[in-house]
Amino acid sequence: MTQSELTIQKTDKNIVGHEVTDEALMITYAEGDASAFEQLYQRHKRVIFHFFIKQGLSTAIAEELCHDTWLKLINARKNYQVSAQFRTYLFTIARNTLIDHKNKKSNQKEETHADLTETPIALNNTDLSNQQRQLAQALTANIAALPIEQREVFLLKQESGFSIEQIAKITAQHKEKVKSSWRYALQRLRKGLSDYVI
Amino acid sequence: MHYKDCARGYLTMSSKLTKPTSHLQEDEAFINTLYQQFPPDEDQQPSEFLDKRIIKAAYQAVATESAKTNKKKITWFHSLATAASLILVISLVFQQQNHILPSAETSTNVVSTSQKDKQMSTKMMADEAVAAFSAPEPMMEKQGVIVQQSALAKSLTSTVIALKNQPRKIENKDYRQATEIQRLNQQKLAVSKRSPSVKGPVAQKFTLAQYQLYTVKNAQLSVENKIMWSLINEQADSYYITIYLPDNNTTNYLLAKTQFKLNALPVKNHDKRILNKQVFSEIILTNRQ
Repeated sequence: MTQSELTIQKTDKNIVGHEVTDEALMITYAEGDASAFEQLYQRHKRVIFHFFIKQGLSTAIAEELCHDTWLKLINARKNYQVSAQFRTYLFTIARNTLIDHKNKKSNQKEETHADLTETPIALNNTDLSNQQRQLAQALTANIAALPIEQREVFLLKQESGFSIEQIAKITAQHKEKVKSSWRYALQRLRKGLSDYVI
Repeated sequence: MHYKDCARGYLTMSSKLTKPTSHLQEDEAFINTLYQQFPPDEDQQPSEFLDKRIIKAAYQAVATESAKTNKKKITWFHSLATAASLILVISLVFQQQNHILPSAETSTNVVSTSQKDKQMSTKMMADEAVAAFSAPEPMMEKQGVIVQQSALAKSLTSTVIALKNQPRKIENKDYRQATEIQRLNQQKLAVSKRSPSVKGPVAQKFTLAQYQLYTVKNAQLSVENKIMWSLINEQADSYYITIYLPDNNTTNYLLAKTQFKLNALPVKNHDKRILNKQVFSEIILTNRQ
């Protein structure tokens, strides 16, 4: 697809409900309009940050990885092609950043279990009741206990709202394998949290 | 709501509604029910500092890129301008050369015409030079020298003419050779001028008409002003003499022995200061043919 075709798409097809789509904004930014990036960033900064936080990373590390992810997007703006949704593209970058971070950590042998449980889900929310906090702690602990592939798939689907097909694209895995990871993750979590039901 | 109530509610709901077709759907419904217990976590977001850093990086990247693009554009423009200027200069030079050097035919005509003019002028100059060199000289010692200088002048002139008649595009090598020849000739001429001892028996032939003219003139002159002559050299078939005129002019002649006879031959005298002059009447015409 040529740049002019993309521009045409940007002017009609990619304007949904008076709002320019992510893909059109990214193309606009690649063409040199930095304000388009600002819009993109405002739209997706939370989901990306949550993605890292839900991995069980500390806020500082999550912010660092957020920074790296967005910088990678900035540097790769010229190579961006509308072959999938922008969110898929952005989360692919985020996931690769996370993997790089984990590889670095494992090389340095500094990764500790504390990293995974440092900031459990919603524990910072002061509006939660004690019971909710307990459940949240249990959920966070169970998610952290998942194998990495299952945890990744679970968080992408449950927290970020991606479909199985989109997760398969992001993780560069086969769709059936993603499905399998999703099923096993749910089974484990249900089993781990069943104590709280009875 | 207690989480246990929540879970119980899920179980009651799931049993009352349609039964899940698979375990997967049951598990999904279980997790969804759990997540519904937590309000959306809107407060958890990256810091403003991080926002500013990322936005700044995005603006900087675009600014750097536009600067690079401008630089590239300027570089391209400069290269093009330089190339265009070079082409313009070269074409102007070629055009100028074409103006100076006309086409082949025109140049040939012009060259041939100018060469003819030059040949004419050069020939005239050469003739003048020859005439100047071959003109009668008052001093006897210079006779042979003058003759040789005349020959040299002729050869020099012919060299100059040959050089000037050369095609316009003379190769440098030929031109150097010609220049060298000319230089050598000039040197020879200079040497010959410096050495008057060189002599030669060449002179103009003494004709019957000249003899009669001198005889008539001699008869008209008084005794003290009579025409005199002296022998310079004697060959097997001719005499080489100098005739002294009353107006102190001298002329060299070559007298054929078959036509003229010298009555009183001069006495050999090694003293150059004494001229062995004889009166003109001593030259006797023996043969009128």
